[in-house]
Amino acid sequence: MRFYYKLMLAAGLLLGVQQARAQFTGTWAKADIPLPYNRRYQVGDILFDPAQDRADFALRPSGRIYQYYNFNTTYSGGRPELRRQLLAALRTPPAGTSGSGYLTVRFVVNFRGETDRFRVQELDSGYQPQAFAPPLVAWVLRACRDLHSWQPGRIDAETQDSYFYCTFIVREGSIQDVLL
Amino acid sequence: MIRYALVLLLSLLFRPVAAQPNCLIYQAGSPERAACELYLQALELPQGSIQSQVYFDRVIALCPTFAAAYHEKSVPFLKRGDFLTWKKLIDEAVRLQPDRYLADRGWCRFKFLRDYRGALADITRLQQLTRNQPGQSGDGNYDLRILAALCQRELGDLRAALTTFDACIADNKPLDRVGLYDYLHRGVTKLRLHDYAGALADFKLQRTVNGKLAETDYYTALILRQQHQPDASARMQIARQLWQQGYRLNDPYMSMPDEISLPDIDRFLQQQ
Repeated sequence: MRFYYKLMLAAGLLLGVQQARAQFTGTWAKADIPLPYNRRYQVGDILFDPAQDRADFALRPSGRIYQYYNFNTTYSGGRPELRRQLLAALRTPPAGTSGSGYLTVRFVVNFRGETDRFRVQELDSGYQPQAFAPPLVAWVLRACRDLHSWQPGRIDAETQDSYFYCTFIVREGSIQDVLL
Repeated sequence: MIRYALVLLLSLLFRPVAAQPNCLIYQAGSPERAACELYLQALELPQGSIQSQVYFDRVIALCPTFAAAYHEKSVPFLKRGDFLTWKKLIDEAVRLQPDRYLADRGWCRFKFLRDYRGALADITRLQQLTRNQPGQSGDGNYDLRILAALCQRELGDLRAALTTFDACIADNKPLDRVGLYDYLHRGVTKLRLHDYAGALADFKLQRTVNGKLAETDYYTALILRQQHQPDASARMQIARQLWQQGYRLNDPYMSMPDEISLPDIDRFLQQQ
């Protein structure tokens, strides 16, 4: 797994600073990296970033991180319960927040039901990129990190690592709903 | 072993489900024909893999007006929460072929983003293009007019939603094409309007379409409690049983409208 990270990083560096930055910070998939350097890459892969990710976050040795919908990675009580808990935790926004749109928090639920590698995408209501106030993003991220009843999906009774995301609908700086 | 054989057999059986264009309709040697043939190869690659993305890019390079490639390329971005990239790609597919891709964009805006205003605009435009026959949702469960009614409901216009539900159901009933959950959603809309008799009648109709659905019994129990009927708890116990047996609204990607959870049921039972 680490070998591939290094290989992809090296490929990115060879191809230019912009691509290297995208690979290193684990933003969304780049389709323009030549295949020989990038064969295992998938849309939405989040690469390890030592600046923000836990080095001791355990993953299966296969290195394969599935999608939540591949085998129903979920939360105790199901998605409606997860929505209820997040809305309860996000009732009162930090002072001075504003803006409307979609705030998507994507992360990895590992085979132990722990989470890490959080990344955000911030869009306005017209699906254009925008930046919400940092305290608002930190507040939502904290609520997501504080969830501890994950039920990782299984293949042949063995729990696996998978990506999961929650999209928050923001209205005038408050969380109006969570899409799950 | 038998399970794997069955999975293999089923996956072979359902392979043609992926929308495959007929490339022979394009002139031999034309960029459209070359793009179409490459598109068919791209469909063979795992969705979301870098290989499939590169193939779709090559299809687009060969024929920039090949709408299907933009659509198919967009799908993994949607499923994996990158709505920025998804929207750019699906917008292009809609621009090139609105009658084909408005349904998909509207359905996804509804389901993944609860963008009711956007979804309603897409379905309304599609209705104009298709003489009020917009077709089915991406999962095949809904006439898109039912989806329009759900959008109206969630936007707060319950009366307009009911009118839309009624028109669609009246249209589909003689053809025996009422959707799997149409009566349930109309019943919940009536429940929100405090029309309990109307809602109960719809839940009864829902049982004729689908006899085992936890949500039908859950919402029925809510009304029975409201009316101080003694069998509200028993009805909720049935809902609990059905939920646990898997007879409930369920989707691999997102929660469905009016979907309930086990804690919802348990909270009700604790309050009794």
